[in-house]
Amino acid sequence: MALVGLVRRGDDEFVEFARASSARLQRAAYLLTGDRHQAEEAAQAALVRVYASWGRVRRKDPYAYARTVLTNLLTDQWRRPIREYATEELPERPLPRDVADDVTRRRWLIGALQTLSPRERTVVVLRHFFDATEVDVARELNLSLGTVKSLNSRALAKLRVSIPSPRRAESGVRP
Amino acid sequence: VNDLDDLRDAMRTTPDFEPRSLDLAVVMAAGGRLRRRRRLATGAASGLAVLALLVGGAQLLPARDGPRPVAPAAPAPASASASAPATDDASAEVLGEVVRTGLRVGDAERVLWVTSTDPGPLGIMSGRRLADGSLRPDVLANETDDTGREAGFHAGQAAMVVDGSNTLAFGYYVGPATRITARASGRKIIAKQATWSEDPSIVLFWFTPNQVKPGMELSGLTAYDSRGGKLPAGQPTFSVG
Repeated sequence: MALVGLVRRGDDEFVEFARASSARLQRAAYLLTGDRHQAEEAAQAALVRVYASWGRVRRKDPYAYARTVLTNLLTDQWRRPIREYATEELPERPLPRDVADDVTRRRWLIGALQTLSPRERTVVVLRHFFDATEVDVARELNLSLGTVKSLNSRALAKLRVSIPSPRRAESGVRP
Repeated sequence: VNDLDDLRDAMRTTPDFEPRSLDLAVVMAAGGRLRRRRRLATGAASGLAVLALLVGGAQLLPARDGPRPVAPAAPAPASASASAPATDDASAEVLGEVVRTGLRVGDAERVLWVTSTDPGPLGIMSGRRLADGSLRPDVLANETDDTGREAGFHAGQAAMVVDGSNTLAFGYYVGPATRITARASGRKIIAKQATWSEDPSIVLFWFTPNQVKPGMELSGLTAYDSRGGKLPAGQPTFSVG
C-alpha cells in the first residue's frame, strides 16, 4: 500500500515565526504589565492562540494577529469597566533630576510608563513600540480615532516626551 | 524633556527585562489542544447529526470496555468555501504520513492518519482525502485508559455511518504484527495494514466496508508475527461512536 507525505504542514513556518517574534512579544508584554513573569506568560499565551489559528493566519499577517491577541489578553481587564481608569491628572511619581545618561533615561521612561493609565500605556505601546498606525490602534482597541489621539498626546505629556511635528507624526501611517 | 526616539529606544531595550527563550513545544501542544477544542465546539451540531443517524438506524453496537473515540465525528462543512479553514486545520494535525487505503467514496479516497489527542498520547483518524487534496476527518479513536503504547491492540473502532456512507473499521497495533485477523458476524476477515512513518512499531489496520458493515459483530481480533506466531492481544475490542 502506498504512502504519501504530509508532515504537520505549517509547523516549520510557525516555529520560524515564533522564534522571530517571541522576544518582541515578551518585551511588549513587559511594557504593558511591568511584570516579567506576566510578560512571559502573556507572550506564550498569545503564541498559543496564534498556533491554534495558524492555518487561518499564516498567509495573512501573523505578527499583526499576535500583537492583537497579546493586547487583547492584557487589556481585557480595562476594556469592560472602561471608566475605571479615567486618570486625568499627572502621575504623582516625581521626575528624577538625573536623566543625563541613556540607561538612566530609559529606565525612568519604562518606570514612568507604568504610571500611565492602562489605556494610555496600551496606546503608547501599540503606537511607538509596535509602530501601529492610529487607525489600527483605534480598531484593535475598539476606540474612536479621536480617543486614541487624545490618549497618545496625554500619555506623551506625562512621559515628558516632546510631541513630534505634524509631519513626523504622520510617519507611522501606512499608505 | 525626552525625545520620542528616547521613548522608542527605552521600549526596545527595556534595561531591566531580558526576554527568555520560550518552550515552543509547550506552545504548540497547548495551541493544538485549543484548536481541537474549538473544532469540537463548532462541530457539535454535525456530531449530533451523525449520532442521530446512527441511533435512528439502530446501528449502534453494545458499548464495551476498552478504547473509545473522543469524538464521534469531526465537523464536515457543506460548502466549499466554509470547508477550507477546517481542512487546513485538520491537515496541520497530521503526524507523519497519511495512509492511503485505495478505497473510494465518491470523489474522495478513504485515508487514515495519526494525530494527537487531548487527553491521550495519540489518536487514529479515519477520514477522506477530497479531490482538491485536502483532508476531511470522519472518526477519531484513541486510548483513554493507558498510554496507548503498550504491546497489543488499541483504539479499535467499528464501522459507522458518516455523511451517508459506511466508514472503515480500524485501529492500531503496537508490535511487529504482519497479519491481523478478526471475525465479522462469524466470518474470518483479514485486515489491511500499514506501519506508521514515525514509529514502525505502530501498525495501523483497517477492514474495508465490504468486510465490515455497521452493526456487524466483531470478535477474535488477533495479530501474528512474520512466523505466524500469535502476538499479545492488548485490548482486542471495538467501540462505536
